[in-house]
Amino acid sequence: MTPPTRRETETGTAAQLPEMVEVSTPEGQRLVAQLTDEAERHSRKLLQVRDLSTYFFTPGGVVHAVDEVSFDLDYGETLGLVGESGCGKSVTALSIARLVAQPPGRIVDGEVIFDGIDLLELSGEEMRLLRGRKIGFIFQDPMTSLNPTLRVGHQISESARTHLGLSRQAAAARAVDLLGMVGIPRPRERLGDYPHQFSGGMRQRVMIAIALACQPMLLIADEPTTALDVTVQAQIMELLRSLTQEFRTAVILITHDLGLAAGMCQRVSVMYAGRIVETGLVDDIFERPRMPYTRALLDSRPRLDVEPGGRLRTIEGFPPDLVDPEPVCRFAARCPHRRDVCDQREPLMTPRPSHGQGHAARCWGTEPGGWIP
Amino acid sequence: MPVLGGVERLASRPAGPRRDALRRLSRNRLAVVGAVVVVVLLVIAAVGPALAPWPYFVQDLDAIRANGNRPLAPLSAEHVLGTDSLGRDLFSRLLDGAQISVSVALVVQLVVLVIGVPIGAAAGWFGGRIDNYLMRFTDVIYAFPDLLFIILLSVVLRDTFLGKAMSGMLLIYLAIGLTAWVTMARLVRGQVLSLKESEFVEAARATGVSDFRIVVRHILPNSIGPVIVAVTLGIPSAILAEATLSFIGIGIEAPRASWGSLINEGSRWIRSEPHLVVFPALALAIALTSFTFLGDGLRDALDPKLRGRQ
Amino acid sequence: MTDGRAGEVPLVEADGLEVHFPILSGILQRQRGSVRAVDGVTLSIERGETVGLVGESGCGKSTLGRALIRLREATGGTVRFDGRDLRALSPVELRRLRRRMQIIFQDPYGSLDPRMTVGAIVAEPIETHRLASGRAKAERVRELLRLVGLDPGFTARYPHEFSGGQRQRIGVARALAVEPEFIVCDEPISALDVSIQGQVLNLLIDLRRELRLTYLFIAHDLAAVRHISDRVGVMYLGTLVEIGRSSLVYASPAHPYTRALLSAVPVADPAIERQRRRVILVGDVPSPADPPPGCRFHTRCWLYERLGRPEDCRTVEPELRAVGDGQRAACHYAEIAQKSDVGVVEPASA
Repeated sequence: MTPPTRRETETGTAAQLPEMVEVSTPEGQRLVAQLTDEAERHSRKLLQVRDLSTYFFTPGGVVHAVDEVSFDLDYGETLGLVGESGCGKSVTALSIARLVAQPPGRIVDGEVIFDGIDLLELSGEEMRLLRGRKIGFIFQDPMTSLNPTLRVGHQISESARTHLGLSRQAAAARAVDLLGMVGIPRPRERLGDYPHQFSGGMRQRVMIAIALACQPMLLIADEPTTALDVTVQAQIMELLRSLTQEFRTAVILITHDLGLAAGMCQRVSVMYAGRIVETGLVDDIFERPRMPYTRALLDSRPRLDVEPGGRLRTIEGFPPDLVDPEPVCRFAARCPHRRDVCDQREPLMTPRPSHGQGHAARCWGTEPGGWIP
Repeated sequence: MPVLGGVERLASRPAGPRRDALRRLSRNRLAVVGAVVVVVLLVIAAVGPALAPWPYFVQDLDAIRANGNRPLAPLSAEHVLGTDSLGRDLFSRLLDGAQISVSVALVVQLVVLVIGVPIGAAAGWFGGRIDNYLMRFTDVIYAFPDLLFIILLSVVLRDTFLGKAMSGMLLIYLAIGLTAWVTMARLVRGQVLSLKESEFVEAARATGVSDFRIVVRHILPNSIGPVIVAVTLGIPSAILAEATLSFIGIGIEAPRASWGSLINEGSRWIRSEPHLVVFPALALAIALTSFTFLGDGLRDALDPKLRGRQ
Repeated sequence: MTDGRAGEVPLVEADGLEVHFPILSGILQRQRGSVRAVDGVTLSIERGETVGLVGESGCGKSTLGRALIRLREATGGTVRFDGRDLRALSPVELRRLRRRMQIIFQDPYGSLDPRMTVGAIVAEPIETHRLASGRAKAERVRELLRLVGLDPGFTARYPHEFSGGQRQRIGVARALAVEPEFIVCDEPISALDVSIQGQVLNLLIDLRRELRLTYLFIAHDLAAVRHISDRVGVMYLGTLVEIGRSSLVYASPAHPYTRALLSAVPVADPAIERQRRRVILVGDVPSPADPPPGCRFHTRCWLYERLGRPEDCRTVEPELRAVGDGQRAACHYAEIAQKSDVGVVEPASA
């Protein structure tokens, strides 16, 4: 029930140089190397996505599902990737973990630097080892990611055995710990149960246990509570929040629910039609969005914190076809602030430093000297 | 008096579910090949005897005698595929066999539809006790060995009118059909059961549409896809069943020929005259695979999960 | 919003309504127990009013909605529509009455027959009740499509060619075809994308005004329910635990479950989210085949724990009783719950 606090990314230097160490000795060399490594870690990001583009090659044409998406993620940070269905947020996550079905999908361009390694350069085998060990996944429907024919205990310990090399007994003990940690009552007895014997919320807890079994550095949660009731959603989000804080796990939370993002994330990136259209600290995004789509998304739904009455300000029309999109603003056709330039050239993601640290938006109208206040 | 300002946009491509399915089918090369062969087979069955160089029962005794009382080999002067040991033209007999096979296919599937669809639909629609009784009955039929049933039936009824009608073929058709409807009944029951619960049926009930109209307008049209697939895929088994029966000597009566009975007769000469087995077997194989390709293609094309996709 | 004359009977009235589904097992299909989907609900809906119904999945809200228009057979209690006992009607009388009550479904994909054109779908109710034929029917179909904001030229199209929001509009047009007075809206927006939800909500509100409709609006989205409803009912395990004017229920909920539900809804404002006091309910909803004794909510109730587990919560089933101006709640300690600050989001003045 603790309110989420803004996490610090700096934890102070973990290892201090002992008073007198001869740098020329092997011990000294090792220490220096270790310190350099630490320092490097602090200066760099956990994840740097640069110009990531994933297209789907269909009989109807090339669908630009993810188009030149770039963002960073600090160690231990929670980033919300927000947008409506078909905006490319899930495909972005799948591309990072290289789980896009190929064909018809293909990552056509970009870099995904994870903890200093370019994931797009890894072999399939190296990538497989990294998933589960360093990147955990939670999907919307736990039933599709759990194997219905295997006992839950086996599915949890499997990951610990493959990635951490634990013995059978040690892995089983770890599975009990994990089930207890995600709040499943009588974990020892439930190890032998099959997924269908759990309720939807409990299944999602099992998925979280599996995802966190190896204490990954990054957890990708793709609409983790969309299939659940609100009270269960609140349980799961609380659990995710406390566990990721405890393990200092960075999270990419993919959701269509701005409310969820508001409560969970330090930063939010809004996606529309395959592109990131706005990114910034959570308060800046919600208080003074610099992209009309973000504003419209916030206004289009009734909210508990706003007195009801009057018509909802909806977004008319549809997102554009992503088969070979025109080089114009992709939101222009639905935008109440559209001007000629929006239909002529596509705006770039430009920094909006006056609106918050790291704030950037893709909109002609809110550029300096623009017409949107 | 439109209450909304914005009229929503729509893709300009017009297409019904049927046209959609056809388009998907035409993209599947194997299915198209299957469909072409099936059409050719149907045409042969319809007009085949007219194309045949010889009537299927005529014995070219002179040719045989000239060959030392042995079957003629393929590519002989007057017989493209040679003759059997009695001097009957193999090509003509194959064409006659095509007619038998196609009629088996059609009549058996007709029997299957006439029995299987009403039973399955009734079980699914009424549910409860009716469903329970009908399905236990189909279970019994399903559990009974098909071949044994058919053999028993044809032995018992051999000398009756039914056994003699259409050179013994009618009895075979009925016997095969009587064992094959079970799968159809189960399929239709499942379809009806799930459609009965669908929201569009509920919507129809909510507007006061009568049960009869719901079945005729909503349930049956939506079950047709899987039924078509089952019929197409049931045809090869029916052809194969007839061939098996003819091969073991039940069913078709000489001098008419089916591909199964041709293989049976030819098998006696298999060492010296392999063509007597090879050609009918080839015809059988081509027919079976074509129907299967077409059936698989139809299944993919009609799959509701793919409906509406590009 | 009630525009009916005083003293007139409510349009829809349920009294002690029960819908129990038998649990059958074995080859002989013996009844082993029953799922009490709706277990004694009393509710009335006035003409022109919109009553919202919220609750978690499996609480029986959809079953209740269907039982109110006899799309599910009730197993106990009564339902009256405009004063007439629905359960006593013959099939023919019922079919005639269906003109006056309709339903809009959740799933915009499953609720339209994929083999029928949009024109045929919207025309079916007109044909069933012989409201028009020939050219008049075609004109009426086009008028209905215009009414829900669709291009009237779409009649020859098939449902799969439309987006989710457009299909939902087709479903609305079908429901309106018989000129009903009462419409059960069963989760009509929950399957739609965020930006489309608002469009459909606006449409329903416009139609209500234009055609003087009465709605039962079922949803799990508490904010949407507040937006559209005059009164709101909260269901838990087959029973109504609280009902009252929306403004009251949302501002001073009197049932601990209502408060827990409200507190679980995320709000799109990081500042509010940071300082909210959340009640996280423990465990899952118990099975409706075997509801807990006493108050059904006591196994997950935060107030029960806070009050030191009073015995009457475990033994006595609380009645739905008045706790405020037309507000009723089924909790022994409703007054205490009402004073708590749990769960309520203070709306910023717009």
